[in-house]
Amino acid sequence: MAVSGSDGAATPFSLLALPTELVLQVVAHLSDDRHALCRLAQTCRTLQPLCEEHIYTVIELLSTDNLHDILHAFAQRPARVATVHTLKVLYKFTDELGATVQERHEFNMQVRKMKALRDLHIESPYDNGKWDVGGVEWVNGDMVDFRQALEAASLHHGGVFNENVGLAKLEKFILHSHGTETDYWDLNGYHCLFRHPFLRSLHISCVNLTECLDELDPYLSATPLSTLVFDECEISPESLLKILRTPKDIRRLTLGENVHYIRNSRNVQPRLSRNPEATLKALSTVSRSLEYLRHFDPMSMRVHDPQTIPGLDLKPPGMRHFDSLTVIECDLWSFLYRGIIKNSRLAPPNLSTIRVHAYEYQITFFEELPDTECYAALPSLKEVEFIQPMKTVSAFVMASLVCYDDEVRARHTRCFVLWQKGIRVRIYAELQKVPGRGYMPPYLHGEHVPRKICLYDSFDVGFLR
Amino acid sequence: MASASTDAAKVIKVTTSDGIDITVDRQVAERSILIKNLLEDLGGESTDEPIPIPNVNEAVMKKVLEWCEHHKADPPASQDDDSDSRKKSTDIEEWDQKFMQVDQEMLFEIILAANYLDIKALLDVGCKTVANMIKGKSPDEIRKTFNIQNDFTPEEEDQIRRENEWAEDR
Repeated sequence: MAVSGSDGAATPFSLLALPTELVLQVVAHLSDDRHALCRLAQTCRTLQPLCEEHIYTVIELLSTDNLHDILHAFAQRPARVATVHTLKVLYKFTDELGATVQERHEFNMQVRKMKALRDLHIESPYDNGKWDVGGVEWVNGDMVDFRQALEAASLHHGGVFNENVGLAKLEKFILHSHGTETDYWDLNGYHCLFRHPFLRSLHISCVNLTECLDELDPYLSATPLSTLVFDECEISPESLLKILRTPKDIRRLTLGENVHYIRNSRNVQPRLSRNPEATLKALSTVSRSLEYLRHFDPMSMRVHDPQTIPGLDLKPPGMRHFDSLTVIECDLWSFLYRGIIKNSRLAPPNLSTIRVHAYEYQITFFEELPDTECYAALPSLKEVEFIQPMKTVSAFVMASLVCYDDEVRARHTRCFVLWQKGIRVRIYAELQKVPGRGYMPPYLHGEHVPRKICLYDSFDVGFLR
Repeated sequence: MASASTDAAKVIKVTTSDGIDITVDRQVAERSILIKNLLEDLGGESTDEPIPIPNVNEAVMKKVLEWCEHHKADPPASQDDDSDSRKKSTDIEEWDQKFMQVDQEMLFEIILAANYLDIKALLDVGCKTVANMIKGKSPDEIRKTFNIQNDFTPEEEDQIRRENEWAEDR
């Protein structure tokens, strides 16, 4: 290494005179400036591949406009395919989308070669009710292409795992799609989602998970999946059991049942809270590792008076053996609320946070808080949060909600009891930016997500003994 | 005795590649992980002996130590400092920007010295400075600035421009 430059080298301050690892560091600092990377790639053969590693690291497709050019670039230099680390297929719906089936298929074939891919996000352009105007080709074409790519990278009982294929190192996968004629899709061959040897985070929506899934039986504790999110899914306790047996340690689990997508052909079908013992049996397979659990129940949308919600009498041990579980998030109809939170003898021993959701048009938490006595009976509890959805409201409306004399007195009385036990209560208004939109999970790319504002915090009240 | 020993430990000497001894506060020198580890290996017994730095000459070493002096009170780098966001950023604080206003040869020598002496924050500033010199320039301007030989034919260069053009639209 000639730092002093005293050896008379002809080009002592050429960028390429730096060791390659330092050139890589310089290029890495340009990774958010694609214009600079593209110019630098044109300077010489040495810098071209170093720059293209960053240019092709992230591919985000919001339309099919660039598919032809990307396919051409891949064909000219196949090494570019192997540098893709993050792929987001987020085509927006257009009337011309039907003409791109072949091009999309060719691109999907390249996904099979993306050996460095860690992060994959796929959303159907036909989501949000457009599945009947082109969704068939998506389901029978693109979704099959992606499934085959994933299948090749998944575990096969009795077979040797092939690391040398696309998606083999996938760590995070978000998949939002639909059926050929409905907004729901059947898992069918997609059980490979639960057989991937590297996948750590999986988020899927609108899936019918009621088939028996015997295919997963040979894969006990076989995957490193730690975060699993189901949004708006039909989930049976039996299929949940099969799914939860495949990972070694699930830490975060969201069981979002079909709450919002109720249409003529699909009635309210709460499956987990109707079979709480079977559901707890399924959850017990991850009792050692589970830290965060969320459940949304379809019935909650239909309840207008929390006083009418029946309790659930569950058998011991309930969730007493869920030693790592510290956060439960649910609505008032969930079996978690009715059977576990309301029964301290069955609650997880280290539960520290409860987050309770209401739905729009219900009695608001600002008028009356539910069940403060049961919270006081949970010795490990530190905080309770109530989430109250609202249409966009003015500061005046918000102030009114929080400040009605009788309601404030009743709230303070309840929260004082909890404050004495060291339990903090916060009530949030969850606001829709665009009224009537953005409330239904999954929140697709570019959609508004609800924004929470804390309107009441018992620790800020200043209670005195 | 204890006081004298403590005072002695506060100052160390380094010998540069051109044989010059430089006396420097130990706290300043320890911005270099290489020097810090050497001193720890010596167990504080031989701090009178100059530490040889065979890869850095006097002019560069003084410049590096000027940076270390200014940043001697900075908190040590955490694991998070290796995050992608830090690597991607090309923001440089004002003092460092002025510090890096040196000729290109010195800039590259500071980078090499920071790498050899294991001073991650200085290495970052150096690499960011070079990255900022690349931004906004055409391929020809980059080649001239950094003395890069063009080994593409005009057709090849144009082909690479066209192939990567889709990425610039984002």
